[in-house]
Amino acid sequence: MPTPLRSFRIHNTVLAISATALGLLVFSAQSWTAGAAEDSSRTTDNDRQSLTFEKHIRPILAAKCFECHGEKTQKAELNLSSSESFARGGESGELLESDSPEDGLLYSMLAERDMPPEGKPQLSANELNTVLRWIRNGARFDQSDTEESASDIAVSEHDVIPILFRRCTMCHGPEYQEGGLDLRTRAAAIQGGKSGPAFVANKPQKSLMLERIRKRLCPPKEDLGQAGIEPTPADELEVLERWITIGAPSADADTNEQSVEQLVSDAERNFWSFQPPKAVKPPSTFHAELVRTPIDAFLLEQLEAAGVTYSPTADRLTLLRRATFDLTGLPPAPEEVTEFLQDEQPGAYERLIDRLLASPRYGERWGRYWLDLAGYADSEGKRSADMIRPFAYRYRDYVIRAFNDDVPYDRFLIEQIAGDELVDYVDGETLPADQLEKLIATGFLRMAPDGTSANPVNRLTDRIEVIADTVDVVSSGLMGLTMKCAQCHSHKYDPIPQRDYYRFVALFKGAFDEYDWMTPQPFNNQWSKSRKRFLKITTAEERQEWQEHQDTINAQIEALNAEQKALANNKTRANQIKAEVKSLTAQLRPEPMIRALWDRGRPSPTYMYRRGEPSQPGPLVDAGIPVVLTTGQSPFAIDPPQHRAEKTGRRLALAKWLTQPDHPLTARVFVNRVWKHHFGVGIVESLDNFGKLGTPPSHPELLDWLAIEFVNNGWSLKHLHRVIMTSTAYRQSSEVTDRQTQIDPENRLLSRMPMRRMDAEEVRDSILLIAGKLDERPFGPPDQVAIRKDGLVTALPSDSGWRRSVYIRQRRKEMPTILETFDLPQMNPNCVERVNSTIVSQPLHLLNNGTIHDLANSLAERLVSEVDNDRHLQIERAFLIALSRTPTQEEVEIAEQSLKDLERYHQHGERKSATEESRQLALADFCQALINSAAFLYID
Amino acid sequence: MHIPKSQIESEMLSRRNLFSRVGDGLYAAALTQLLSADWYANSRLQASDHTNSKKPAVYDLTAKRPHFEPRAKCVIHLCMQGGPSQVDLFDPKPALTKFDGKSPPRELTQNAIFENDRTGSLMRSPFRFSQHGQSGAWVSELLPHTAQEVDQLAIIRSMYNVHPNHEPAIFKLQSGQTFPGHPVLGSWITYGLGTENQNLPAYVVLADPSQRLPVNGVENWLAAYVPPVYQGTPMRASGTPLLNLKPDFQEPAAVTAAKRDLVARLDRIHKNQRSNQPVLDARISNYEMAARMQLAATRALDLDEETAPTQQMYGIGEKDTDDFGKRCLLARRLVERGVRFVQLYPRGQAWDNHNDIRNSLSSICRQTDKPVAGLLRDLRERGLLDSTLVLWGGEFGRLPMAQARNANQLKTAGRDHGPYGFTSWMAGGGVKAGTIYGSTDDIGYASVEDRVSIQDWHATILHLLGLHHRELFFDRNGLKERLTHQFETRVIEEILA
Repeated sequence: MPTPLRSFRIHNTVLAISATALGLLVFSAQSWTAGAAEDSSRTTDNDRQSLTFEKHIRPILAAKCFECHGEKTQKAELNLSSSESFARGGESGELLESDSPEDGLLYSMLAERDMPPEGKPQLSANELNTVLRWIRNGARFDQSDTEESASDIAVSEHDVIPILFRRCTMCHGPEYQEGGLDLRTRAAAIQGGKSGPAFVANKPQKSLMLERIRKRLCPPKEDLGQAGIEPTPADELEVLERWITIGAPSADADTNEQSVEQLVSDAERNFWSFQPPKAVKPPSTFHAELVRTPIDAFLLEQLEAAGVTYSPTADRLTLLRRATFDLTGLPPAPEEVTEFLQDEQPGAYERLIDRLLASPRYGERWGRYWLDLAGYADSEGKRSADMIRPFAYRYRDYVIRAFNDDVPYDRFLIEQIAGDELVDYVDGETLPADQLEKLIATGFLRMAPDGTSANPVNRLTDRIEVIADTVDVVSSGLMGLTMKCAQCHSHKYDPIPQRDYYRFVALFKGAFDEYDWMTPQPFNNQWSKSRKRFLKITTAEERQEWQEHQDTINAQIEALNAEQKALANNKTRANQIKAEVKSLTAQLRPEPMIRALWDRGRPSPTYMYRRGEPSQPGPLVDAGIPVVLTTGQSPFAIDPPQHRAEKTGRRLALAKWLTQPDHPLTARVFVNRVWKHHFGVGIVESLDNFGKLGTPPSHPELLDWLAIEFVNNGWSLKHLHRVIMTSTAYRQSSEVTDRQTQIDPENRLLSRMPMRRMDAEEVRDSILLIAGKLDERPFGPPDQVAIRKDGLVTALPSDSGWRRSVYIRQRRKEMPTILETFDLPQMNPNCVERVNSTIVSQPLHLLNNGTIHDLANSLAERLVSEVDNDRHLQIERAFLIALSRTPTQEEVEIAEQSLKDLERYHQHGERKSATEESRQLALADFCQALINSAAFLYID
Repeated sequence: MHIPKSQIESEMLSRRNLFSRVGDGLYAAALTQLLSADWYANSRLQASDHTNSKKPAVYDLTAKRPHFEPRAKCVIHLCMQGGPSQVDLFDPKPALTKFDGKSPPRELTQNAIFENDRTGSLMRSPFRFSQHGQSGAWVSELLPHTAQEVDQLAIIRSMYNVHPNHEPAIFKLQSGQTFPGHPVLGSWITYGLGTENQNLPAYVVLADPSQRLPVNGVENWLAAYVPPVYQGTPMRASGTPLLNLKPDFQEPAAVTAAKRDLVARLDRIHKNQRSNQPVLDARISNYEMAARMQLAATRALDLDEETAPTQQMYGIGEKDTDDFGKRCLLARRLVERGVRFVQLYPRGQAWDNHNDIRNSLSSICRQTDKPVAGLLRDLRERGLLDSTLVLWGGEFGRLPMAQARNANQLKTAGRDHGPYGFTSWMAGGGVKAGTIYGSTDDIGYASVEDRVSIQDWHATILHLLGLHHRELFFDRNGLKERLTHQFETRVIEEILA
């Protein structure tokens, strides 16, 4: 019996030799004896004779394992039903280990009770023992005498290609063909370059490629550090050599995708969130008069079943304040309060909602939610330098505009995922605005933290991480699927095989290719051949305006320089000119560019990475979507766009598939998120996880109804807002009765509206607004921040105050202190749900920060300008501005007394302020107290 | 003046005295809030259950129960960024003297990440070593004071890091990953355990008073994706001790008080109209805490309360040691008051001795040795060392070779970064005092025996605090994130008492 200890693997599994180097698994199905020899005393001769896979092991596996790892379903790429497929192993590699039998994957998974999974029938002690004895005894198969065929020990082309991509194609690939050589395919390598073919089959000693690698001429030393490539290690060289020696056989381009469907079971496909939303008729309820929209019917059904009903409707001013904050992130102005109170016609509330939805402030509020999801930042992150992303703001503006324009959600997604595949932009520097927007939209896929703008962190693994973060944002944010763990292994709880992860990643390969990387930012000591990630495209108007601006400034500079030259010995004037030139130069603007993502139509082949390691490629895969979602009702097809042959069309296909009307996840995930922003908690609480580990929906039928309503109304978000906000549910009071604390303590039934604290942006923007210091100019480059010596980060003001928080530069390491204090998250890579903390730095900031004090003073000045010096009127006006209501008698008394005291303290304090001044100072203090009050910061 | 213990305790609003004050009524609801926020006790269950963990409604700093009986309650991390040279401080190598000027043997440098890390000639340590204490640990002449406390220490001579540059190596040391964006050690600890004194920050950073930030800046103490309440708060020994603690503006004290009073009165009316809203009670007590913190923080930083002998022990008043001594003494005053995690940074990159190691290393040792030893002694004498874990060490050590531009400059040579093997030490709560653990190769280039990775170090620290590194997690986008990440990790049992 042949006993090759280190046989080469069969088909697509990892190369045994490299695996050995890593201390991994080595196995040959036909003849496995290693390590068992010393142990053989523990097994009987009887074992040796009789224990075989077919007779003794397969029946055990059939009973306990085939349900998930058999012919029909092959989770983790593992099929235990035949000796061949057993030998192939699964996505984590082969099943047996030569050096120590007990450490092999099969036995250790069984022995440690990792498999079968909890809740499934387990192996008995006897069965486990049989498996161990079989392994110890050489793991024999009935057909154990067949010689290994030549092809079994062959190194495959699929072992070679990934090595060439890792080490060579930076210079001999898509962008550059140094020496005329392209090493991306076997055929191209044979065709060779100027010096002849890269290799000669069967003749390793005549193969130029091997010689250059061996002599360390390739990859060239000078490029190594800069290009993020590492030298070819000995085991890889050995693989190349071996492949050439055996004749460099070509392998099928076959990706074995026909079996993909088997990676998940039908039962898994039947999970609620993988089935399309079902059209449901709203149920009838006892209190039909409370049903304003079908939402109410669904909610009331459960409330009534629990023996409760809705809380009473909130009073009108509470509703006004709630709706205004909800849709604009700002309080209503005093005039709006009066106007709303005076409108006693039916439909006043509905008209209010319409008015708020039409406000440009709406996009700044709801766009921000989306920016959280996308992980918007004006810096690269990942490194201490945290380099600024100069043009990221264009994407921010795109998002705000899209929300204001109520761009249908399906179009919104298509543009962000595949805008570049919709536009023919390749020639020229300008595009019409509507076309340009689609390119800018792809900035969505350019938001992940990215440290590859520096040499030590521009390695393959760093790039893969950027891609992984992006895929994470797309899958969890848009589909409620947590795919991240499948980068290294099949998802433990959800039907997301590891193969799915790589199929999904392949969808992005046309633009996101770790072997064809584009550098986010220029940097020192950059590889001379690296390419940049900006498109110098803009609208004709912007380009012209920029050009004119530059020309004017440059002309002035030239004139000054000419004067300088002609100048004889006039030092004063010379210095003057120098200063003027300097200030003019500072006015020059960077050339307009966009930070987009675009398909280059030449994706590298996608191999699975075992355990997420690019050095351990597994099978070749096609681009595709998660197989659990591919049965019949959601077809997926990739069609390269017509206008440009060089596009892969993969992301466009993804986008179109995602936005099918009956997609099981897209609409549900989105309406759930919108619901959360209105009601504080989602119908599915885990916004980013609609899988098994997510929370089941509290109102599954309502979720489906909302999803279908949303899609049927043209994916219009504003329609959805109207449906939700005009419901009786939304108009409830936020008061909590004792009975509710017993029956609905967590408010999962929505027996009331939740009270909430303003979020970070609402706190800052509202204070600015009521102080009359909010500069409402939208869009454009972000506002800079200043960092005080003690670490306080503040936004720099404009001429007329400060702009809204969404327009402040979002540098990951320099977030404005007030926003961070009120829970603005750092984007790593994004934020699915903000937290809400109650910490001491919040009162400390609002009580002691100089800017807040100044703003309180501005509010006091505003009061005087609006109602003069009457204390009573001032108090009333202050309440109206800050709290959207008039004060109660008790509040007026407290305020008046407090103002008197404050005034006196100022007069008699160390500074002995004059009467008039004290009066104003006291008013400012009162305003600051209002800003600090719970009535201001919490919304009923 | 030394304040009696009872006084310190009265400054603290611990869970216990919260109970005793329930009668006030004011705290009753806040207490409900606290109890309902005691979510941590369930996290073991969550970790093993694999069910979707329920996140708390509010993240706060109230003290939480650890997973198991802790050995230490709080941590002082002497974060010696820059790379203290192990072969000149704790890990003497006679071979360096013998082979001074020779190239290092190739087989010892084979794991070098950069080619540069193999070049250069070996350089003997210019400093004398001798053995100290019962343990007989070798300590160089640069650390005479630490040498006297050597029996308190567990010296780990087999640490290693994964990157030879400061930035990534420091990120690794702080957060377990070589890049920013992951929560740091102090954030994980305060996330897991909260803090004992609600009137002071839970995680205090005592950085260089010149306000030049250490390498990696504020990212040394950012909480990343765990809520910002768990990030480090820089405190200063002079001026305003922490951000926004005192008004940025001038106003009479009576005005400050009246303003607070007005907020409190408005809030009480507001709250009384809204029953069953614990978050409003929590908010009111939060404003009260803010007021108390102004006093407590100012007081905690008042070194005048310390006796002259105590100050001298730390080297306060001496030119070289005054700054670091003050900060070490502050650290003691903070842990004494129940602060969970205190982190000290040296001035600039003082341990980064690329040049003239004779002088530059001597200088930073002179600045820190006496204060550090004073801290250990002071903690011990006050009985605080049993419950305080003190950590000393950098992100890496240094190579045993000389770093100099040419042969003429060997006299003023320094050493380059050495991540492959370096020394750090722990002392205090739960640490087996007088231990020497692990070793480097003959030239001190790489650790070879009982190697300790950064995540082993992290897990050991968590363990001493009663936390299991696998069970302390934060659910993020469906993944359970941990300080030790996916790395293979082991608690270094051998240095535990």
